[in-house]
This record gives sequence, structure tokens and C-alpha cells, in this order.
Amino acid sequence: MATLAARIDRPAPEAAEEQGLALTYHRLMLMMLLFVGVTFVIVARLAMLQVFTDRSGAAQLASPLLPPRGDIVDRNNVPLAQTINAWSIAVHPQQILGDRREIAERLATLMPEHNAAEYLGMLSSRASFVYLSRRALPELVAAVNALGEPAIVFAREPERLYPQTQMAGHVLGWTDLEGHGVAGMERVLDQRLLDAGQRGSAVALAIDSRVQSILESELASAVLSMEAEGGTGIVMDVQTGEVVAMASAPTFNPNAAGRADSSALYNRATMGAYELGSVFKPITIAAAMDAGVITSVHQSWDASPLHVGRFEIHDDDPHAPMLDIPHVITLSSNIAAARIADAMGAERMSGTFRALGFDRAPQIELAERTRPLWPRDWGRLTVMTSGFGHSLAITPLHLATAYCALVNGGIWRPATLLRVEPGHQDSGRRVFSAETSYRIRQLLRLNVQQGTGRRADVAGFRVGGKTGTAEKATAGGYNRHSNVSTFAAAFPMDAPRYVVLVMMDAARPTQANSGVITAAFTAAPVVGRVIQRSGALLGIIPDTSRDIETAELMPPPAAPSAAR
Amino acid sequence: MIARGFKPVAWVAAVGAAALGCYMLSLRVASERADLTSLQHRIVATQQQIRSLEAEVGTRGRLAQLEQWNDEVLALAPPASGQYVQGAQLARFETRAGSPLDGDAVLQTASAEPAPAPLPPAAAAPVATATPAPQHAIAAAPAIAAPAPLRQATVQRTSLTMPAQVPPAPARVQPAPTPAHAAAPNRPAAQPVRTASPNIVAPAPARIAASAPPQVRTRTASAAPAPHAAAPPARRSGLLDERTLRDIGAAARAERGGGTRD
Repeated sequence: MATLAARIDRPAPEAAEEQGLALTYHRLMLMMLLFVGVTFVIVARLAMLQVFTDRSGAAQLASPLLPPRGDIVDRNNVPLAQTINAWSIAVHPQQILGDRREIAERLATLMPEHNAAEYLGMLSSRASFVYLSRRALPELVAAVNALGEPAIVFAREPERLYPQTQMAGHVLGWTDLEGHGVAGMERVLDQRLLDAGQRGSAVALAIDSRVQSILESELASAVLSMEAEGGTGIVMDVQTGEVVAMASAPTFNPNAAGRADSSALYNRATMGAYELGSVFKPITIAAAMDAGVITSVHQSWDASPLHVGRFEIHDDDPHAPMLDIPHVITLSSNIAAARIADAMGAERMSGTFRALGFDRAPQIELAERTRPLWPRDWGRLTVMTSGFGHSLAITPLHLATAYCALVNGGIWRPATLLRVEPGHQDSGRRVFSAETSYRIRQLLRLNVQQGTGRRADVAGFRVGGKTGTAEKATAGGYNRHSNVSTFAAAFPMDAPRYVVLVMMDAARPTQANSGVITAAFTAAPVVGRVIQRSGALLGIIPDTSRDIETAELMPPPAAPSAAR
Repeated sequence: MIARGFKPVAWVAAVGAAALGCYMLSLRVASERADLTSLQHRIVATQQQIRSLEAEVGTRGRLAQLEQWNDEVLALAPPASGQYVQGAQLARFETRAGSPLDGDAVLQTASAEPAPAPLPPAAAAPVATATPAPQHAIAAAPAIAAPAPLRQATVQRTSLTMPAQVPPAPARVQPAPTPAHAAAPNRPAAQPVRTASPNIVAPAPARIAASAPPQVRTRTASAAPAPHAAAPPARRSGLLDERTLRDIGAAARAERGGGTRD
């Protein structure tokens, strides 16, 4: 100011004042615009947030209902495998406040899977996080929580639950801790069950849990009472190839598959290759009928003892030297079956077995399958013994599939564990002619009416079937005291719907089988009980007024009262 | 003057009020939306709970468990082939009064009902000597009572009145002759017996007495285990009576552990 005052040419004070005032106004206006602008930006941003923020939470809502792994249900939508949120108990060992020794002792009393020393090891480990229990019940979680240790944490994790516990364990398989299927249908369907687009809907198996439960309980009680090594049972729909029930004893609980005995994990129905014996005779006879080797059921076959090289083929029970076809079945003559197979020749016999898929692993979704023992060369003796089910070891599922083709009119279809919608079944391939199939149905029914299958006859269900008892092959030949006894049946024989097969592995003579270990006393009664209990559930109403005509199989003079 | 000076203030106030109103509306919408979201969360939580409870019920009621309970307590067996009846009608309620009913349908209805308790031995005698005297025939009619009204009355009435009416014979003669002889509805029991001479009426009860009753008796005997006249049996709740339910409950409690509760 002092210097300005010294100047001579200073402007007029009014003008300067005016100019200064204008500048001040100008600056004030600028500041105000700035404030207005900032306020406007803030308001605009708030408005935008208010308008465009999606607070409906739909994104988080969709996922909780979608299970991390799809359900598996049976053919009637009964859950067989579900994923639930189970509790897991874990610990942060570095953060433990209490006395480790005392906590370890208390944990050992609550969770006896490990002892106190092991728990102490876990609690004093250097890791930052250790699981104590992964599938804990809420009671256990509450009890552990009551210990009051803040380093022990609880979380909910998806866990695979098999609500029916033991049931259908071999079919379902199980999953590992990461939630991937490692066996059974869990393994087969792994991609499908984990796929985000498809896991919302359950996969329906062909299994009917009621029938499965009946089959398993009857099989288990038979295996127990006959002190057998094991057993297997299959119920199959003859028209679609659906496996309605498949059991293998001993069984295991897929909820705790890791704790199961390794022999229990073995699915005898698809993994066990056995020489199944006389159950092959209907197949041999059907093939011979189609080939024209058997022209009439009244045709007689020589059943006198047969010597081939140094071997002798013999029958268990003495009978007439000549047998017609019904008696070959009802008396189960190995000699006559061998002669029929001999007349067929190697090419036609092996061709039939190939057509039935006996030369490769059974056709089913499961990965737990085994290849049959297929003879390397078809010499005369091999052909003869194959006529009554020796020299060729197949799985019980092979046989059940073949019996479906025998009785359903001659169409072979692969077995499936997935539910088949009506009309969508595999077209299959013709193996036997329809007339032959009808004849075989008559013969099988006759065998249950008056042959070896009488113990499987359930009033009204028109059961037909064939027994097979084969001595078990051991390292140096056959074991006379240990056998594999099989009963393959179908019902109702006038219009077959289901094949029921039961195989007992190494049954011992007990009270339950009257001390006899042939299939007529071991497997046939089990089949009878399964049909008795499950027949109506499968939609077959017992009717004693209907049956397949079997009187025509008998020669006129000696006609017994076969037909009812 | 003053009003003009306050005009901008009024404008500001109006705009402010409008803005506040809009904001309140928006706030209301937002809170409604939040409520909706929390409801949806609750629905999801409930659905998850339903799912886990279903899993628990399915596990507790697994088929193997049911079978074990059946073996231990109920001991139910699969029905044999003879227990399946084909083409049969278990019950039929005929509402058209006076329409002629065929015997078969009537008998099946009767078999589904509790047994008509009093079947005095007198019934047998008139059956044999039904034709000579209508007096006997009608004496038999009250005893049987089921077939007699069935001829002309409705099935519904028969089945419903039968178990209820326990009074002695004369009281029950009443319904029997009433539909049969429209002429004498309200007379005492003995009266219609005497007047029942016309041969059109007489054969009817006689035939009923002769043919139908034995069938009725056999069916009812199989359906109801205790058809005793003196005391009508106490009402039972069928298969699952109190004791059975208690047994099941005890077996369930004996099992280890409680439920999944969270």
C-alpha cells in the first residue's frame, strides 16, 4: 500500500473499488458454482446408486437351492443319494487357549474314533487347521461346543448322504471327500451330477427301492442261515432290460464305505465270473430248437453215461436211458444236454453264446465289471460241457440278461440301471425265435410245477425257472463240497414281466436248506420268497385261474395233471 | 408486497416438500423391497430345512428299519394269492329307493359291515319249513333282517341301521314288513304276519330265508371275528390299536440319538 501511495498515476479510487468488487463477485460466483457442481455430482451419484443398485439378492438366492451335487432317486422318486449340509468339527491348533492334554482327553471320550494321544497330536500340530470330525451329528457338535475352547470351530459342509444306508450300496457306490464319485453310479454319473445346468434335477435309476429292500433282506437272511460265503440277486424287467433290483451279499454301507470290508465292496452280480451249471440248459435247448437240432419236445435223447476221451459225463440221479426234452429239463440231465450241444457243434454253440454277450463284460453302466472266462478253443469236450454250463464262466448279470431274452420272445437287450421311459427301450436284437421262446417258457414253468424248481412255486404268480448247481472250480479241479447254486426264474410265465435270479456262493448244509446244498434247496426258496413279497409291488396280481399251458409237453399216455 | 418477497421461499418449500414426498415414497419402496428379500431368504432357509428334515425322515424311516419294526412288532405278512379278489365291488351305496337289487351286490355290502349280531337258532328251522306257513317265514325275517329290507329298501339304510339296532326281534320286524307289504306299515309285529297270506308276498321272504341268509352268515363270520349277540364289541381302531402304537413308540425311543435340530 505504501508503494502504491507513492505513485502519481494511480487510477481513481471509485474505479478501482468497482473493479475490485467485480472481481470479488466473480470469484464468489466461481466458488458457488464449484460447490453447486460438487453437490450435483454427489447427488447424481447417490441417485444413480439408488436407482441402479440391485438389492433383490436374486443372485445369492438361486444358488442355495441348487445342490452342489445332484440327487439320485429310484424309479418311484424315492431318494437314494442326497447332498446335505453336515457339520464338521475342526481346530486351529495355534490358537488353543486351554490345556491341550485335557481337551484331548475330553475329545477322546466324545469321539472314540481316535484315542487321547492321537487327539493330543492333532492339537499340538504345527498346521493352522486340522479336521477333528467331518460328518458330525448335531448332538456331537453341541457336546464339543460345550467344551468352551474357542480354537475349535464348526462349519457346515456339503456331505453325501445315502438315506437307505446299506440298501443298493453296490449300485450307488460312494463319493470321496472332494465330492467326486469313486464307485458305482456315483462314478458313472459324476459329470452329470456335478454339471451346474443339470444337477438341479435328480437322476432316476431303474431300481425300485421296495423290491431292492426285499431282495436284500431275503438274500441276507439266506446267506446267514445257510452260512454261505456270499450271494447275489437280480430282478430285471424282461421287456426293457431295466435292473429293478440288484443285490450282492455281503453288503456295505456307502455312508461309510471306507470302513467296509474289501470283500463286501465286491459286487458279485457284475464282478463275479462263475461256471453257473445247469441254468445253461434252457439256453442250449433254445439254440438247438432254433437250429433245427431239436424238432419236437417229444424227441428222445440218449441219456446213458457218456465217455469223451478220459472224461465221463454223468448225471446226479439215475433215470431212464432215453429222455424227452421236458425230462431233460425237469431231471436236469447233463448227459442229454451234452449230446444236444455236441449235435449243435462248436460254431453254433459259441455263436449263441456270443449273441447273448457271454464273450465280453456284461453290458451295464457300472464300471465294476469283469470279463467272462471264455474258452480259448472250442474242442468237442468244451462244447459238450458248455451245454450244461461248464467250461465257460460268466457273471450272474449275463445270465439274467440271457434269461430275459429267453422268455420275452427272443429279443436280447442290454441291462440298464437307468429308468427307461415307456416306449424308449433299446430296440435290442433277436437271438431266439418267438416260438422257441414260448416253448422255453412252457419248459421252465413245467420245471417249477414238477421239476427241481418246486420250492420257488408261489401260488398265483406262475413262476418258471431252472436250477443250476456247479461245483466251485479250485486250483486243481473242482471242489465237491463247495458249490455255486443258482436259480434263474421268470414270472408270470403266461406273459413274462420280470426275471428273478438268485445265486448262493458256497452255501453249507444247514437246517435252512434241509442239509442239501443244491440250488433247489438253497436258491429256489429265496426266489420264491422274493416273488411272494415283491410280485404285487411290481404290479402282478396273483391269479390262480391263469397259467401257461404245459400239458402239451407231456406225452399223451403218461400225461400227468400238469395244467391247472 | 410481502407475499411477492416470499414467493421464492414458497417455491423452495413446495419443491422441498415434493422432493421429500418422493424420497419418502422411494424409502418406503426400498423398505418393502428389503422385507421381500428377507422373506425370500426365509423361504430359502425353510426350504433347506424341509430338505434336511425330509432327509432325516427318509433316513429314520428307511425300508430296512421299517422291515425290522415289522418283524419285531407288527408281523405283517404279504398277502397270499387267495386274498386278492378280482372284479369284486367292496361296497355299493344304492340311493334309489325301491329299485330292485340283485342279491350279490347286497351280500358284499353286508360282508363289509360288522356282523349283525343276533342270529337266533330259530332262523334255521324256518329255512327248512319256509314254504308251508308264511307265519314262520316272517318270523325268520326279523332274525335275518339284512336280506329282508334289502329286497326293497336301500343298501345304505341296511348297513347303517343294522349295527345300531340291537333291540329284540319284535322291534325289528317293523322295517322288514313295511317295505314288503305297503298295505300294513304301522301295525304290531304279529299283525302283518297274519295278513301276509297273499301268495305274491309270502314266497318272497320265504325265498330270502331259504337262499340268502346262509351266505350272509358265512361272509360275516369271516369278516367279523366276534359276532356275539349279547354285547356289541367295543369300538376298535382297526390294526393299530393303542398297545401297538405304544410298542412302536417304545422301539423308536430305544434307538440311539435324537434328531437333527438346528
